[in-house]
Amino acid sequence: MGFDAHPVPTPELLVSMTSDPASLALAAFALLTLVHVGAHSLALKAAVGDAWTRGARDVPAVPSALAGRLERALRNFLETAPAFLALMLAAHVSARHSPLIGGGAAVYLGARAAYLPAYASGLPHLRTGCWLVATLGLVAMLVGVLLP
Amino acid sequence: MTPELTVLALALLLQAVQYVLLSVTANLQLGTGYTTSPRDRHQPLTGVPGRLLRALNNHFEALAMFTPAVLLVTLSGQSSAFTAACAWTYLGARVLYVPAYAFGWVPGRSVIWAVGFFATFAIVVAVLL
Repeated sequence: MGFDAHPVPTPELLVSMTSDPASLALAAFALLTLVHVGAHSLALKAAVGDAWTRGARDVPAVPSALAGRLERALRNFLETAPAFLALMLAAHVSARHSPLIGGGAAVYLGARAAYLPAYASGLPHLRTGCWLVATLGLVAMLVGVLLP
Repeated sequence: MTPELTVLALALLLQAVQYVLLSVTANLQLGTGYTTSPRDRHQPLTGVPGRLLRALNNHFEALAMFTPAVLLVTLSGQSSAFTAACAWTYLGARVLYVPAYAFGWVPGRSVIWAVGFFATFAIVVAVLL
């Protein structure tokens, strides 16, 4: 035994990427961030012009209503990102797999994906509902990580 | 420890350096009387400190994408010379981004930003393929 007491992480977690739900969730998260940043960037460029966005932005520009909404949606998304990433990491490090963690992550990602168009649409209750569902997903993940 | 994790650690150190740069210049501009107060009246940063603040906030956004990319490639054991090169490219771009913003390089800053952005997503794509 001796030398094998600390084996390298094995295969169960490292099998083919695309079939591993945790990796898919992380990839989906990264792509969702890309969509947020891209949508805001394009809306802002459309509203205030390329010269301002490429400049040093010393004088604040007034964004269009849509660009403002997409910026606030991005900020709000980023506020929740550390919690999601920390919970994914905690679940992985403690090797926990449960419906609460997996389902919570799926709910979080789905609701955050819906939050962006909901914010852009300007329908207040829709946006708040998406935020609430996503946050409940995080709570479910937290419970899943903390349960003995 | 994969090279990508090493780069992630260095990127966090870069963020600390950006904090220090912002803190020093912002305190010089606004005075410690204001910065240590509850800041009830908003006093915007202008000039270089304002640029350093925007550069810092932009790096938070970049880290929100780079961190899961690094976790992905590390946890799936798919680190390669390509993904390591992408990670180092990201770090180089983010280091250059700070003077690019502070000195107002146009369109250098946008180009540097794009390099870091696409390096991050090259890692994600490499993992998925």
